[in-house]
Amino acid sequence: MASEKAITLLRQRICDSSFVYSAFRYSSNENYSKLKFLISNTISEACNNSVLLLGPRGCGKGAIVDLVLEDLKADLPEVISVVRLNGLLHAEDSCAVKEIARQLCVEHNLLFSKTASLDDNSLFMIDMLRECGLAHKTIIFILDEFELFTQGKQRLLYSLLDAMQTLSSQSIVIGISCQLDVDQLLEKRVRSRFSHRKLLFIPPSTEDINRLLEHILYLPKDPSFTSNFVDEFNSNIESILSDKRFKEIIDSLLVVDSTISSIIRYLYQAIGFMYCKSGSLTLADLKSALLCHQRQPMIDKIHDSSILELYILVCMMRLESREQNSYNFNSIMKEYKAIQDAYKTSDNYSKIVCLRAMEHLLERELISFTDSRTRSLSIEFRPVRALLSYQELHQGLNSHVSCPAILQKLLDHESYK
Amino acid sequence: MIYLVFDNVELLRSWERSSSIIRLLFRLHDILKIPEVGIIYISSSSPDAYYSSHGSIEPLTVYFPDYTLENLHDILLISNQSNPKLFSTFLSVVLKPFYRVTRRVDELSVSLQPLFLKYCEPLSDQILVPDEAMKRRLFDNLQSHLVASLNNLFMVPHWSSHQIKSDRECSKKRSRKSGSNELDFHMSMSMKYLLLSAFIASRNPATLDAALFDSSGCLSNRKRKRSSMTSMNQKDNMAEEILLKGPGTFPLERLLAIFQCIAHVGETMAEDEQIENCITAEGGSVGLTSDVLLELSSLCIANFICKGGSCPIEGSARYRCIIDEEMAVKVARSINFPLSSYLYRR
Repeated sequence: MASEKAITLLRQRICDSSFVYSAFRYSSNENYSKLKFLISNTISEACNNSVLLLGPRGCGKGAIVDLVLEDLKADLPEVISVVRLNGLLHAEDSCAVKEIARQLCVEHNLLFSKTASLDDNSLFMIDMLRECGLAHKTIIFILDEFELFTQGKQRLLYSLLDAMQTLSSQSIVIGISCQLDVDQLLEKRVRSRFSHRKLLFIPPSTEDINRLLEHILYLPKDPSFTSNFVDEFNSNIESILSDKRFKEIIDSLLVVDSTISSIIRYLYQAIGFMYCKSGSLTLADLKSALLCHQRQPMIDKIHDSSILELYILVCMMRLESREQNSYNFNSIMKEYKAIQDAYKTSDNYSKIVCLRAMEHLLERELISFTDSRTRSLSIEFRPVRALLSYQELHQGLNSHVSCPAILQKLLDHESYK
Repeated sequence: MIYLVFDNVELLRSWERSSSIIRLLFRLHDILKIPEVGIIYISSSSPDAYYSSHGSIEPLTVYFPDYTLENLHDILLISNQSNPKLFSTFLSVVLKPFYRVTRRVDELSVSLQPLFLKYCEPLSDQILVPDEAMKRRLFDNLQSHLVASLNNLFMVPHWSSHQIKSDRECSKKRSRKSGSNELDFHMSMSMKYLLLSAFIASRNPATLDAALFDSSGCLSNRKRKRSSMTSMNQKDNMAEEILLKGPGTFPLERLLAIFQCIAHVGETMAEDEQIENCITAEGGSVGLTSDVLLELSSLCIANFICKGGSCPIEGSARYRCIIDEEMAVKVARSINFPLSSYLYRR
């Protein structure tokens, strides 16, 4: 089936970050060319360098580095060796040095000793830096989640940067962080050894996004597809991309989160909808994917709640609107009984049942206890608070399938009684 | 393709260093860079519960809504195979009111089972498929039980009380006990007094002890109540406060003092009876022995009394009685103790 094959291809493309970001390879993407120039310059001039890549999450910092390295490895084989560290895993010095030693061993076909001490490993690292410098080989250190390396004594950063200054080594330190002022976290001795090169990554512009969409969605003229199918598929995509309604969808997406990763996530969901019908991509698919993408968890939770649970939520809101700062199950129960006495609804349940309903609300995380430590107090007396706003509850009640009208009235008119 | 499945991810949040663990877990796919590894997170809480972890990468979400009425009907029908037609008609009558209260299968199936037995009672032949008239008759029969059953929704049936161990929540336990009019457990005489004195100590302000119990341990005359406007307001505020704060804590000494007082009252009452019956036995004496402390600790284990935080100045443990009034009244009735006259009424 041609269409199924097309969908598989699209999915593969979306999951493969190197393909996604290769859209920016030959374009005028500044960061890509800057980084590439910087690294290749460092290699050719046989010096040391350091750079920080900064920008919000999901803007392709790591992917651009990968692209650059891939290109350089193709251009200059045997000259580059890469060491990758992640702040989440290697924030501890001993752990980081060990990992560096391990990766260098793998890279240069040496035997790695697991029992080597921290000193052994750091000596080995410095030796390797010197040897590689003499052999005109460049070691590139990529430190992801750079801000986590600045915790503690920063011994690793210091020894790396210090070695780069004193030894005749050839290495580049690339720090990747989403914290824009991460260089302020560096110690003085580290900062003075750091070259203050920074590349700032920003969310893509509209043109970039259009290019990205075209790059991902158009099928290639490939012998595996019949040219007829490719033409048909691509013309359909073209009509969608130029559609005004599609532009609206993309706009509403970008208002919330304009990073590349959010767009990629959205596209993946849209293609998931397409798979159900196994036809071509339609605007309806894109729209339902948008709804899926922009779920409101609080509203969903309200829709899942039973009527009694809604009563308790409304009681809590009424108490809150009366500026009663602290309340617990007993005060909610008092309010509930007052409502039941006034209206004689069919939803008059005993205290135990209401207590259990409140436990359900706690499990749903619509409400929570305000205190954390007094475990000894039984649930009835522990103060609670609502985790949703009045507006959310209002919206949720309005769109609830079987919400009794009286609940909405009780919520709207706080003094209604 | 390898899938890693993480179930109950929401529990991670209470772990030590949870924020870095969650961050790592959600970035795992990014760090691994192996497209053949898929990662599935199962969580009962929504994705926004994890936002605090520094805007980690958000996984694609697939939302599973709660069961609808039809879903529940179908699920519950599977559990009863003996007469699906009959059970189906039963469900169509009963499920709707229950659905207004809870949507959980476990709770529904537990509370519907005894109700179904009641529903079947008038039927001689359980295999029978009921016709319209029969349906109506059965429903009329059931209707009286329906409301009661709704209000006792989470009660464990009486006969199972011995099988179910104390791992159930205390609230449930108490609810079971308050259901029937008599205590369905055995408790020694002195333990009942101890429990009652703990209840009194928790409910009454400590400053009132001297007024309630005079030196001889008997009930002293209480002050006449004022009922001016200000005192009414004060009372309202007090009631509100008690509602919010819950039972108060008390030190061991106060508990023992009250215990001695009310045990003494109980003794004199018992002695009066004994004199009438011309029995001269020394059975009812409840002395302050180490037994009392032992009984206190077993009350703590049974979750009637709980140990609160210790007082920062004195350093001694403080206790709190967490039974509700209904149960206290029942205990008092079982030993003919005039509880209400010892409680400070606001």
